[in-house]
Amino acid sequence: MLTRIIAISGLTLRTAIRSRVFALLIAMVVICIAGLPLAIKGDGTAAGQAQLFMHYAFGLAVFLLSIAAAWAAAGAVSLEVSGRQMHVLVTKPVHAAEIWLGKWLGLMTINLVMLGLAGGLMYGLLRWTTRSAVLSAGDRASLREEVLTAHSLVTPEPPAAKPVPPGVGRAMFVVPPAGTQSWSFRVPERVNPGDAIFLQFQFATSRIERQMPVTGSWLIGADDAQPRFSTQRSFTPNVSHALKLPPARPGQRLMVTYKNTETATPATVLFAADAGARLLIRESSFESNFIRALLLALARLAFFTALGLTAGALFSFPVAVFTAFAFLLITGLSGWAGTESMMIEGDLAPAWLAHLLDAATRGVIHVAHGITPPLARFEPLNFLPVGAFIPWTLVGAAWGILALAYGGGLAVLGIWMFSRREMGLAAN
Amino acid sequence: MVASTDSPQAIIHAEALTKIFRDFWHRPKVRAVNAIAFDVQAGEVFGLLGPNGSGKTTTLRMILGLLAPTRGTLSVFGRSPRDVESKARIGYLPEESCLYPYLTARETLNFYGRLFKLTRAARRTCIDQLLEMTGLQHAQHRPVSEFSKGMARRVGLAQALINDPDLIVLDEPTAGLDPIGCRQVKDLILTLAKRGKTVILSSHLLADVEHVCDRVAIMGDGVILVQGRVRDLLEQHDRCRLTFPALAPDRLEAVLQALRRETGDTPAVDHPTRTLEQFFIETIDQVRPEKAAPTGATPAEGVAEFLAGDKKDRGP
Repeated sequence: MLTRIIAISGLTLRTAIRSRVFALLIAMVVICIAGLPLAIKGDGTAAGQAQLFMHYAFGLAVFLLSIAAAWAAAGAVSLEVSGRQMHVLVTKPVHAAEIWLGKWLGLMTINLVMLGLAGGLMYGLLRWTTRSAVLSAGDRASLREEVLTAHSLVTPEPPAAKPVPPGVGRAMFVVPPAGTQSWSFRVPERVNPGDAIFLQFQFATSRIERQMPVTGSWLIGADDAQPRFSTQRSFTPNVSHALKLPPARPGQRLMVTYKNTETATPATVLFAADAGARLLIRESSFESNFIRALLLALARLAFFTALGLTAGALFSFPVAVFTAFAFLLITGLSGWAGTESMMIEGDLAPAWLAHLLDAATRGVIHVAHGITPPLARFEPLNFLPVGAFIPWTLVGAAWGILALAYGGGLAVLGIWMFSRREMGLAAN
Repeated sequence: MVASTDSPQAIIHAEALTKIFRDFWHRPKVRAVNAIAFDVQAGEVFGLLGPNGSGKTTTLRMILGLLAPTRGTLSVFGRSPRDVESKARIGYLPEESCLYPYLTARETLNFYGRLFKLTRAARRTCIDQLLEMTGLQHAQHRPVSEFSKGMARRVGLAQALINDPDLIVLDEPTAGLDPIGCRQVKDLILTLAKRGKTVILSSHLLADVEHVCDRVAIMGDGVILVQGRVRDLLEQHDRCRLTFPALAPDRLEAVLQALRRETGDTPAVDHPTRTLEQFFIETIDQVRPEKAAPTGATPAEGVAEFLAGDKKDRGP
């Protein structure tokens, strides 16, 4: 069985490499990634520029490769059926499963090569644009600490004061004008003593203007009762902020206190109970995080390839491409609609209509989520550009869910249908 | 419809075989094959004849498992045509040479050889011999997309034979070939038949079929109109033909008078002619260059050793 699978995957690989589409895809990926640093303008800081580059370069490369993966997979079987090469292939002692798996392996090899090329190019450009001749030592250190790293989040210990329970949305800590809110964090034992620690926070306000800044002060103390850090300034609501804290000992307790000092336009400040304030600690190197991000992207490509192949095993090429892309669109829209339903809930009036629309939307989204894979959960862009740590467990889950569960399900369907499909009909 | 003569040695057995093509709504559209019955015995060359649209290719595709019969029974080597293991004993040349355009001739044959799990050494031997047999050695490293129709046909024929099959299914095997290529294919079929291989071919070139087939079935509108041994179908038992060296006119007249006395009829006299194919091959042979032509298929002699001889070490 393995001999035939390898033979078919080799054929798929050879055919792809020798086609002009493959050369065009390489050119597009190289042009998009290499041209991005010239096209994007960040906030003027090296960290901002690097974040933007990673966000757009990684996003664009994965988008292009996803489209190419689904497209190539849809054609790998259906074009051979219409070109009648498949008529000869199925008269050989080859099982439908061997054809499907051979095609999938061949296409995944191409995906691996293309993703490796795109990743190598991105990493090389990132290093080139942040080399010592271009950036000051301070900028480079800041870049290494904030962006080119892999932070994980430390949540606070259970608070003494209970948050306001979820009435219309998430549980919140409410900080009225001149009020305070405190959190207690235990620095994990795995933290290196010299590593920078960041306080990440985000809040909303009671104002109608969502982006109007609020003045507040942050006071950080340790369990040795010595104040370690304090700052007072304006912060924009509904935006994630990060304050660099002095290094802390592993196991040390940090007391974090926020005081609402806004006096010009007093406003109540609301922190989400689960994500209002968290510590960021360095978990691994940027390079290993980058590799895990690529593996997350490869798991997505494995699913897209399975989707395209199964669509191609069932339908003609145009219908297969349409089916694969329609499925991907539904997957994307179900995630987007999840956000929109929250907006309907908060903005529409009267209330009964908002509730009705919200219930209907949630029902549709619930069904869509039931049949589509949780791509958003394994989105590398949620992690890499912001320096968030990608655990290996997430990579494993991505491969288990996207490649094995969804891809395997599609494989079983595609193989079963393909083994029953008639060749040599007038339509093919 | 002619009744099937069931036999335990039948390689292919079809009974009441029917294929109905349906439209999108599953309504019957075309009855391409209608309750046909036939057997193909081991070691015989069986021809399916008929005009375009008579159901020949549909029948072949059902034999190969490409299409599923709507009704009736069909077995190949005593199994379902879709049985994967029995396909290891089958070689198929489709009506159109459906090759992978980005592969070279050698790569194409190597790919199909790997599907039959031939060892690397066996593949190399078979491919060399098949390329020599089909006259494509000089073009073996060119992509088949650059090949002429005839050259692509030769690659298609080579892939059909790479596993030294027991059953060879040839759909219009001489289509696109020059007369020399046609002759080679016919010689090849006869060689394979001598080795006990079973060959089933469809063609509308009646001369080709007449030369190589033991039995034929003539199809029309999806049914078998007639089937039987070629000689039995074509021989006119109430007529005789004598062939002898040319005689002087007076001696010929004496012979004719004797024949008229015996038969009471006037015998027809003419000079036997060669076929145009024979004449063409003899003419080309006289001017055939010693060196291979730089493009196209070169003339080749004989058949591949592994097809002409006994099976040797060819892998698992």
